[in-house]
Amino acid sequence: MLEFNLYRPGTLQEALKLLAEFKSSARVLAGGTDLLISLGSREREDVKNIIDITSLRELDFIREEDSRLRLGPLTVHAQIADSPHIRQGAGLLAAAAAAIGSPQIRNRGTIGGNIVNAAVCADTVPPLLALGATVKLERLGESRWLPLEEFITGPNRTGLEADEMLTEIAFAKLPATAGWGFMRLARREAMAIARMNVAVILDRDSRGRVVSACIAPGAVLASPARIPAAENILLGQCPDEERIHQAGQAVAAAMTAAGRRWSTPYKEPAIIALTERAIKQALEVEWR
Amino acid sequence: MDTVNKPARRVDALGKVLGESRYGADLSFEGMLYGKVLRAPYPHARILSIDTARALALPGVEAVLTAADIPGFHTFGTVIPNQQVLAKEVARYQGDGVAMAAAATPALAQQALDLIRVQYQELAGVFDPARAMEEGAPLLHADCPGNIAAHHVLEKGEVEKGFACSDIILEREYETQLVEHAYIEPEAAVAVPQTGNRGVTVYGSIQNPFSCRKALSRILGLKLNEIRVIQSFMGGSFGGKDEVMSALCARAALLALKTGKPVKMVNTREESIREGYKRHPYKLKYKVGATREGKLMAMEIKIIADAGAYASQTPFVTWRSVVQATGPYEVPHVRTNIYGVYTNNCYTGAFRGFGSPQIIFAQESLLDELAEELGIEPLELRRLNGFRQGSVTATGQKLDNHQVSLLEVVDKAVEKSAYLTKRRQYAAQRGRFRKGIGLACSFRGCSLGAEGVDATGAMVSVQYDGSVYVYSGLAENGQGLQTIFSQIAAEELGISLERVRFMETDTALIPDGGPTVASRSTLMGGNAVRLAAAKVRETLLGAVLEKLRAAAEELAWGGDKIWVKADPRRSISFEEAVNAACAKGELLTQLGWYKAPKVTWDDRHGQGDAYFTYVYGCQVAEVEVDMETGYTRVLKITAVHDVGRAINPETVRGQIYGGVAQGLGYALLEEVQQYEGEIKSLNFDEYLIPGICDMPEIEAIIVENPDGYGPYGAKTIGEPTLEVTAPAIASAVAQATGRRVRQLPLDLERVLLGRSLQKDRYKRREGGC
Repeated sequence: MLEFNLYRPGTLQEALKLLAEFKSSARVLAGGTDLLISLGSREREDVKNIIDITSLRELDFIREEDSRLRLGPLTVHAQIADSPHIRQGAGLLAAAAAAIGSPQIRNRGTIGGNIVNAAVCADTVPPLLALGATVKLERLGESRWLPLEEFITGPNRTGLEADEMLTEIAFAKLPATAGWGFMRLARREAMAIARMNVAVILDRDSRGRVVSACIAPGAVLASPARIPAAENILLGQCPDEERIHQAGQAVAAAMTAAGRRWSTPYKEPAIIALTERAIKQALEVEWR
Repeated sequence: MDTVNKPARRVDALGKVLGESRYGADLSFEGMLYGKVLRAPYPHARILSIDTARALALPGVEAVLTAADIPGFHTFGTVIPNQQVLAKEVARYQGDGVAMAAAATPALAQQALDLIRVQYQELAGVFDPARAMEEGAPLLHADCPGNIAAHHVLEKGEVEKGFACSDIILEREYETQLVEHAYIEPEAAVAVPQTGNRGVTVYGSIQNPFSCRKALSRILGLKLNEIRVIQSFMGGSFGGKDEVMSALCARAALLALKTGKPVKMVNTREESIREGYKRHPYKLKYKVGATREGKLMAMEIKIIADAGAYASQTPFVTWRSVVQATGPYEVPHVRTNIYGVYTNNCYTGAFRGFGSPQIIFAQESLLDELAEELGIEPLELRRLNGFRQGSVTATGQKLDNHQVSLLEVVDKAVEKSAYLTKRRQYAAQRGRFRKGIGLACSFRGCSLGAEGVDATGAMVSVQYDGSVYVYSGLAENGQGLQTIFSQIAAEELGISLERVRFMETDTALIPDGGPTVASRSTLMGGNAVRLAAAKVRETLLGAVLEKLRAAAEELAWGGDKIWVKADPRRSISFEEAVNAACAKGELLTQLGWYKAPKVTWDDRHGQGDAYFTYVYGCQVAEVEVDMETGYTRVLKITAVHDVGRAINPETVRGQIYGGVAQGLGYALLEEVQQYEGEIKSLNFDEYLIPGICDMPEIEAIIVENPDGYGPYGAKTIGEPTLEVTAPAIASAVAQATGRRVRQLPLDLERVLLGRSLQKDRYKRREGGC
């Protein structure tokens, strides 16, 4: 078992001070659903200091301001799944949060942790990418905002500096005209890591033509990302079965272009289907 | 009957629900040390040297032992004692222990292991059992040419003639996977040196205390009466806490005897999955011949089972397979060959089902495929060939001493599930989500059969206040044995269940009655309890007769009293009867001993009366398959099982629910990922078992045809519940998709693509999801 010093700062400022002092020898403990497991398995022998921020209530909030939603990183998945603000303004994020793990994990795991851990299959990341979320990173005395797609740089890799902490996630609420879809595939009903997921947001004009499209799959590329080639197929169109299928194929093509892995023979047909379904869900047409 | 054949609350439930029951890992003794084991990093390696000096020098470390320190044999095993407690010269799989340490804390013990220096010479390993049988393959055990751990033959009739008379011949290959028991409680044991006497007492999550004691005797070089094994409460076993627990207990005992202090050893989940034995993966080749009408004429079967590094129960597991490999069907001509083969994989052994789930998956799939070829409804093929009263099995046994209820359970399952209606309804579907329905059935020999000696004991002890102890050589592993045995004792004595207290299984207090396996507890142990209680009742009767001045046949027993049937006012309470007997100096403690009826076996031809009685079961599965992702949801399982007589209908249903859950995991999810001897799925994040949300509605239906041998007619339920679920699900998936998957589990890839991709994953050393 690893030995480390545990700190429980009372304010964000204190936490940032500790980070400034310990830098890469420290890890921030939020929900602990990822960190504690990696500590137990001796993967993190460089970790000497744990900064437990679970009691920093100032990082636990869901606010709606001027048609924007602002989330504290300590917001747990269960709160996100149940929040009327998020269900109304970003339903796909609520759907993704509701699909994570089990009630126990949803009561512990935080959205900040899900982002910073940056697993390829992180369930909240594709919806946040589709929503165009930005993240606030703070270090002692300064802060910066980054678009989420720039923040996540690879599998379990982010642009977070050793003395920085993620302190807010923000994005615009979906307009009333927009539809969304979120599809997730796992090996069993609950307590299962997503094999693949995909988030879709489509906004249409009064004639039903797609005026904006976001298609963001997870566990398909090295990290979740939007697939412009797929989005472009739908833009300006009233998508029919054929177009929808082409968009699915474009996602699969982006996956295989990045390299063929052991799982590709399965994931290729499956991601086409999942993407089609998410698009249909966004268009509010029957997908079963 | 007052207590038997009625639901009763489990006698062990309250303590478990309140968290008061003490499991192996809960035990603590003064001055107790903690032991940890260093395991081999290679699946096959010669141990050149072990340097323990630095580990021993660590303050707080009290002992570091290797195989060289073992006073007795360093090997043990039920049939072929070749399993190593600690590897002596060669480590044969990655679970093999090489050295161990005892220290004041678990962390110190772990630190000590890190300081042990072992020099290995890596040896060529063999991981595919078919390859292991070939000439020139690395040999695991010097005395086993071809790496053959077991070979059973069965010859009935003339198989060539049978094929010659067939209108249709079908050849199919099936494959089943390596499966983990996944009990919630990993292995735990505490060994305490006996004071004032030579010897050691061991507590722990031990499925078979007497098997454990036998192994310890051999390893420690102690007499059986110098070793006392006491079972703790069990967090599941399913056949899985036998040899792996003997090894753990032996290690704890070696460390305890070396240090003179109690030593506790608890496996982490990763250690448990890495070291513990699993269910045998089988490769099965079936060739079947039938007439145009569907009458089975001949079957030729060749099966290779991966035994892994040690024999464990492989000879017995494969023996049950050879007896039951043709299923509950009349086949006049049969030739079966089954081989258990050593490899450098994790060893395989007992697991609920014990060689039946594999063959039933194959034989039931085969019957479906044959039906399809013949254009016959699979149900009709079963009705045409299924066992009836007086049918003769593949081993030449005439089924005439019990009610052969195969067609009864099949018909009931078909009716309750609306199988035929739904089968027609689902026949022509289009669309992304398709439903299917399928059935599978089995016969199963109860208890050990011709494996070996089959006898067991129990003790019933009535105290002078009318309270009762029940002791048994068979052990509670979560299946409900304590409740069943208590009900039988209460029924026989005519008293309420509350009077009975069931004592933990302790090798010092009761004779060795064999292992708690083969779904034999209710049948064998139940008879022993009944015999013991009947003897006590006989003694009480003497005192009662004097008191009531009546003849024995005039009396009725029940509700804690004894009365004269013709005049219920003439009665005495159970306490009064007990007092009267005690006043006469009578013994109210009795041992019951039940020996199984005779079975026969001719090893050369695989013929004989393999088991003294059989049970029959049928399950129907209804599924929905996502045709674009392969995701399969089970919608309903209808499970019909003939148990002879349900001593406790609620625990019977509990067994059915649990068996179906495990069977569903076997069908769809569970597969230990092992590549070149290394287990990759070491915890439940990778090794997925079904959760509550995966469980369908289960309609459990109990059929009762009382058996002549069983207590109150009761037979068996533990294992049959699991063995037919996977083939029923596979059959339903085949109907839904129009494609048959011949390998378990039917995971996303196999259902969508027809093949697994996992081997590629490890060959290419890729991680991820």
